[in-house]
Amino acid sequence: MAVDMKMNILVVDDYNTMLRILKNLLKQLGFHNVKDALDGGQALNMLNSEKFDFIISDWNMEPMTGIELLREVRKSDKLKHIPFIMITAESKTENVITAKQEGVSNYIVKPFNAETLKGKMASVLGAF
Amino acid sequence: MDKRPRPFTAERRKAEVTGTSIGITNDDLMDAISDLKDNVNKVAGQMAEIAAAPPPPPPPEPDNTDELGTIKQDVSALRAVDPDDDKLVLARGELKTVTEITDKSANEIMNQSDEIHVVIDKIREDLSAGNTDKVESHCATLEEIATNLLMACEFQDLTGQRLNKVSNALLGMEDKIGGLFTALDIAEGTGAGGLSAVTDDDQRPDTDLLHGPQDEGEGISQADIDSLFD
Repeated sequence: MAVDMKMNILVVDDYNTMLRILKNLLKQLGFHNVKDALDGGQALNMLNSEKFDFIISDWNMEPMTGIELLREVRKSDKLKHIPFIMITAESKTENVITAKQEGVSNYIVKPFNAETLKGKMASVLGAF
Repeated sequence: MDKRPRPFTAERRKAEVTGTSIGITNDDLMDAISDLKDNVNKVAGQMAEIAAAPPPPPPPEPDNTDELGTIKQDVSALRAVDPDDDKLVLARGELKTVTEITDKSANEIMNQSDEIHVVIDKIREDLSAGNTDKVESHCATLEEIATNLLMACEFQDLTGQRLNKVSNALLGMEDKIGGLFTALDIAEGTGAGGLSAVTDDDQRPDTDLLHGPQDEGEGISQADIDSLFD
């Protein structure tokens, strides 16, 4: 099935710089419907009030971290089906295992490039 | 008193077997007992003298007054009287400024990058509309953007100077701590000093998992992560 390039994507990061990089990379990949949130709490509010098809989140944010957001998303009947990619500088195997156990769809370690982002999104959505 | 040598046990047995005499009389035995008694009394007297003598004075305590004074001076020198002059406070301020400068610069670079995309879209529009006379104006805009991008990169110089100051402050602190270890004769640290990468009031439940960015060549690679998802 073809990937819907008009899907709504939510990117979550407490650094504006990273949000802009992600939005630019997604635009470069052909995704134009991208919204952003500065932490897990804000993201959760947006997820509960708008329809999103994909979540890309940083881990290390305050007050609500990416892993907490992931737990909340996977707990919710309404949201648990949404693919969730964690993008983070957290570099220990235990982090990846924890995220996987909590139901993350894929995990990207910083620094990364457009090709890596595309590859990980394709592993979840199918080739595009 | 006759001091004839006394026979050994083997000699006595030999004398018993052969029927010969070893020449020991009761007087000999009495003399020997008397000698033994004298010796025992002598040793007992010496022991009593030792026991009665006052204990030797303890060795004098080493005088650490100067050393402790130096350590106190070193510790107090680490903190300035005026907090505005405190090197650690200043270092923290420098790091905060570095964060602000890099944030501002990164945003400026991204703004300029967005501007390039806008100009490129305009060039494409004008070219497809045959408005080639406007291309030169767009090129001038691109040159201006290139200059702005270069200027935004001056953050590297500014942050480099500030980070050098922080690095020197930390180096000085490391030297001072090393000096204290030597002065206090501490062979090695325990690492239990509570120095943490997260603040004490960080209540996030996953703080134990927050390791921060990995250095190049360290930590887990993307390939390692991918293998966990295979």
